[in-house]
Amino acid sequence: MTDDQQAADALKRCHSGDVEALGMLFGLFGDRVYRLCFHVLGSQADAEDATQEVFLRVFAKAGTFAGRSQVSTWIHRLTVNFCLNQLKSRKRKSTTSLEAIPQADPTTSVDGSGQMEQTETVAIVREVLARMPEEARTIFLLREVDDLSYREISEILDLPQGTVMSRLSRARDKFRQLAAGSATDLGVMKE
Amino acid sequence: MKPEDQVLDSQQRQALQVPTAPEGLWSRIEQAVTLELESKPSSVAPSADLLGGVSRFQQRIRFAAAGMLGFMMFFGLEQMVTQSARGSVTTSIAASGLHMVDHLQQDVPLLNNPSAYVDGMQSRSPWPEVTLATYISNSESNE
Repeated sequence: MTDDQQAADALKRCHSGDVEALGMLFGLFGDRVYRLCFHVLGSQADAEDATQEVFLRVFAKAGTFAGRSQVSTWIHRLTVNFCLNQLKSRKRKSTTSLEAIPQADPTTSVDGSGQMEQTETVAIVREVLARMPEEARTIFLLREVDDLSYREISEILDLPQGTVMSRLSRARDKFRQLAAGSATDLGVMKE
Repeated sequence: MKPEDQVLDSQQRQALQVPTAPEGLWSRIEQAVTLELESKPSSVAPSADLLGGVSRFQQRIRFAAAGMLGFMMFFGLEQMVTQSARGSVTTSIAASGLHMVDHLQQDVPLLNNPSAYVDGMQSRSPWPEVTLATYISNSESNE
């Protein structure tokens, strides 16, 4: 049974009130949802609240899943919609808060110098992301970090694939432009 | 992905995949879901086991069948009432018509037998037949 079949089965069980099935979905998608929330909302606390809210919605709306898309796409869609609504409702004045930037995962680096470089890279990339417009940041993350296809992104954002491609292109240009200003000295960003 | 589309290198991509859901987040969500279930028990559909093994599909079929039966009963009753009402009206109109014909035959013999009617009128007339001679003789006697 594939992950998506497992997820579809778990979703059906959620609809009949099975909390353990939601736990299974959290095991499959919890990290991805949390990561997306973190990068879009910009703080650990917000990401935790958002992840909780997204999974509550998954549980409550399990019966509305029509099976036209993959469960992962459906959950991504709930996540993106929730995060964008959060950002709109808060009407943050300037850029997203960068408080509590989490430490880099120790498993991604081998030695001390590597870890330091990694942490630096993380900080710079996140700073650039935080300065990007919300929609551009979201589409950029879905493609670059979650590695979703254009079709999946178009389903999540409810946009035609052509629009996704053009917006993604603009988001990449924006990222490059912002990155050029903040990271060229460190030589971290790709030219 | 085309090379020209690549914005992040593998290190940066890996760096962005770092934050994972913190420990304890699931238990927090589980608690929230349990609280939600307790506060809104009707928000979650009851399982088939709770309904004596009746699946949601079966419930829908039963509901549809009951609805159709109800509609048919209502429609049938409505038809019966309509038919009955139509029948009584027809009967009433027919009876009225027959009564009217009977009445005309009895009370308006002109329509039924004009010659007999004229004869009857003459025989039953309260006024004596007045001729010119009678009128003159009556006038003379009065003077």
